Amino acid sequence: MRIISSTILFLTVLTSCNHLRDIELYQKQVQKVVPLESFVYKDIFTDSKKTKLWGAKTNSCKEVVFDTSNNFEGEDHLYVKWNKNDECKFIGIGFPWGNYKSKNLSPFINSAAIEMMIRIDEEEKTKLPMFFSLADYSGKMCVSKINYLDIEGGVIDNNWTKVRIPLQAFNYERKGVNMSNIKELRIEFQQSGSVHIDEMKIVPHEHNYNRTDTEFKTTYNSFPIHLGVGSQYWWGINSTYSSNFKFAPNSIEGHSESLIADVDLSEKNSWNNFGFAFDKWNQVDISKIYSTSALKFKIKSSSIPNLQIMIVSYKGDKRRVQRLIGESNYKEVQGGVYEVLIPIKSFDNYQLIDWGSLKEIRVTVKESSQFEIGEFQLVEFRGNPRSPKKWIGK
Amino acid sequence: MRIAFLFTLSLLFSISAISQSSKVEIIKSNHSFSLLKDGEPYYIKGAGAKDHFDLLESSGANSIRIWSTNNGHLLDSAYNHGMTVSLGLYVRPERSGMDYNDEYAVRGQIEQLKQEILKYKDHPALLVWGIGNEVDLRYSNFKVWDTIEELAKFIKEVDPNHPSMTVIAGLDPSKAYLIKERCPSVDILGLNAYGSIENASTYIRKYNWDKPYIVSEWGVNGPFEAPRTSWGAKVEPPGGIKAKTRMRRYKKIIEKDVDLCLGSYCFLWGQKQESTATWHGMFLSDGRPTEAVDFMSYCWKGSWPDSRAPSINSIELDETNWKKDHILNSNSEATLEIKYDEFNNTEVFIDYKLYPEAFTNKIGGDIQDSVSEIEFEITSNSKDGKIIFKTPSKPGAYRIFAIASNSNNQCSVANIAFIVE
Repeated sequence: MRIISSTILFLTVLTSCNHLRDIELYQKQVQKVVPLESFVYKDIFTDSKKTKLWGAKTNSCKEVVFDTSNNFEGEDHLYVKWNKNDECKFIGIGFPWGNYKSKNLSPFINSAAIEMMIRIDEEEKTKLPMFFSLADYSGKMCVSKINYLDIEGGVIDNNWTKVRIPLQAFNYERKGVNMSNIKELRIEFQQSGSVHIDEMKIVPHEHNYNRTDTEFKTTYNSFPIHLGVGSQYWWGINSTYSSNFKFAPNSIEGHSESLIADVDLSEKNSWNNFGFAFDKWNQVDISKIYSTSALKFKIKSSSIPNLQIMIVSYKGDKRRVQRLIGESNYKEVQGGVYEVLIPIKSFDNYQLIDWGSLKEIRVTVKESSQFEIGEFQLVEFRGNPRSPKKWIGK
Repeated sequence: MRIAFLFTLSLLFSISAISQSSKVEIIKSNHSFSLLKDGEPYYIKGAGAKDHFDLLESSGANSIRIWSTNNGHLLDSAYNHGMTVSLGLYVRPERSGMDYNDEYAVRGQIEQLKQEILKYKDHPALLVWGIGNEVDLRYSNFKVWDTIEELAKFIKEVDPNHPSMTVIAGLDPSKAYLIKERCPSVDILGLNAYGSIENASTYIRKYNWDKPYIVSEWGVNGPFEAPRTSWGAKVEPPGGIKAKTRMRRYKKIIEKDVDLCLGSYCFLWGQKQESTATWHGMFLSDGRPTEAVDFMSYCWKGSWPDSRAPSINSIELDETNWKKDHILNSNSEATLEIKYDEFNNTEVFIDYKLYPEAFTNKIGGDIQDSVSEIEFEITSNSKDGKIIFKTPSKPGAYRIFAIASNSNNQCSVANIAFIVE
């Protein structure tokens, strides 16, 4: 009896197991989810009955009409004619679609676009002076415009044309817009023009373009920095028009180019300056080290030339600092060969230029002279703490 | 399908217009360049212009520069006046929000501009393509030059009849190098030079630019180069001084560089707000020409027009000239006096206008908003250029304008900025 009961129980349990499914501790999503499909606020503008719109009031700069003729879809479509003049700083309309509800566009930000149908009455155009912005509930806005690549057929004319603006094309990251809390879409109209708009909605879209992070910048955090490397990055040396400056064939050893200067300022329009890029005309950042540095170079001459040195930056309100080289900057290292050291802090108003975007060094010869100059470097220099502007000569 | 249609249309237009289209070439001889149009030497006597073409033509100009293809009809207008066009392809500058690391924005802009090139390449008025205007102003992403190069290269492929130029905001060794290296298909450097025009011909050589150039915008020193009052208002010279500066720069600088300079476009044959309503414009906002038009006519034709505008050479407020600060009390009387050349005019009418100061952060040629005129009381008017007026009751920065005009509506303008405390 016990054996029969055990057998029945075993069979019952075994049969029950057929109705059990495998289950994992953390259930995986089996079905692929397309987030846009579940997004309920896909329609931005359908017609005037179904869609809210602000900025529809006609004024001296714009005329906004719900045109009932030749609609693409629905009862009517939007017609805007504008002409920007001094009377209006902003010409625009807004679509607080979904009745001002907060819209979360983040889940499909890489796979969706705003699509609309557009036509114009005259001519054919490949662009329109219209800027589209998405505004979040904190008031931040990101902007985009109609890109030629997403105008179906490549031209806007009097036929309804499908255009798309990928959500990726809005500069939301740069503008800090919260794409999961979007309030409305705005269109700003610039210059003058007219356009018919219909059926504006969010649709799936494949956006196959990237953003690169190319920067034309060189950052230095240590010394020495060799400057003036590569004759193509120098200017002021052009034998077609002047023989005042010539490149020297390795007369002063080092990484930098060297110049032979023979400047006679008594001649009219005599060339008296030259310059070179800090680094291949990239923006050079020495902001972390400039305050403990000095510009160093060598001069070979029978007498010390009177030179002005200028450091030029790409950006900032003040873009150049300069100074004349004084005798204290020179140190004779060999018969007729001088080492010149100019502490960066000895340039007047040195704090005012942007040491994160340096462009070039310029040298101006202030008196007629002959010399050879080269081996430009930026070196570590801490100077004399009691008199930081003066080179202590050690 | 529509692209194919457009392309076919473009081809048809090309074929029908081929007999009219000019062949423009740059000829190099040693270190010297010249422009040939249909085999004939062509020195550009041009202006940045969108209207007043009748007067431009009669003043001796032969070319206009426009900054974009937005107003294609201007090519027809220029052609009807026997003038050529330096046609701008508007390449968005970084400062307008364009991101040259954004492949989508970059590619879209290039493809759109290629369509514009196909559309206008056979227009008989076309002289030179101007690819971009001042894209270098406050930029940091040098990739913009790759866009310029791609367009210049495309022009070489589809339109071998017209050279291309890219226009920069003032000369600089980094720009000369980058354009030379990254834009080898660009034929001409366009130079927008105001104060910096004084040394442009020397520095273009110093910076090793080895192709020709066009002074694509020039005139008087720009607001960005002007001295300022203690409250930041820019000091604008009177119209007469500005016109003489234009003439000197044309005769002594632009015309002198016969080797590299292919000609120039003065700025601006029209009117625009740039710090003031009169800074660069050679016309007033109501369309009246100033003496700058006469001076340019002299530059281009070598003779003065029969009727000349009067020309204001100085303006003083309370006997202090236009270069100084003027700080006035509210609701007080102040004396404004101008001195001007009458030339061949039997009668000169003088009008006065008061505006709030138009401070702006805009740079380059970016669009600026105009300011509205303020009513004010003139308590005494000697009719020969001297008035006593009542200063505004509201403290603030203002600018008063004097406009001298003749019976032909030719005029001259001068202004003084002042502050009411």
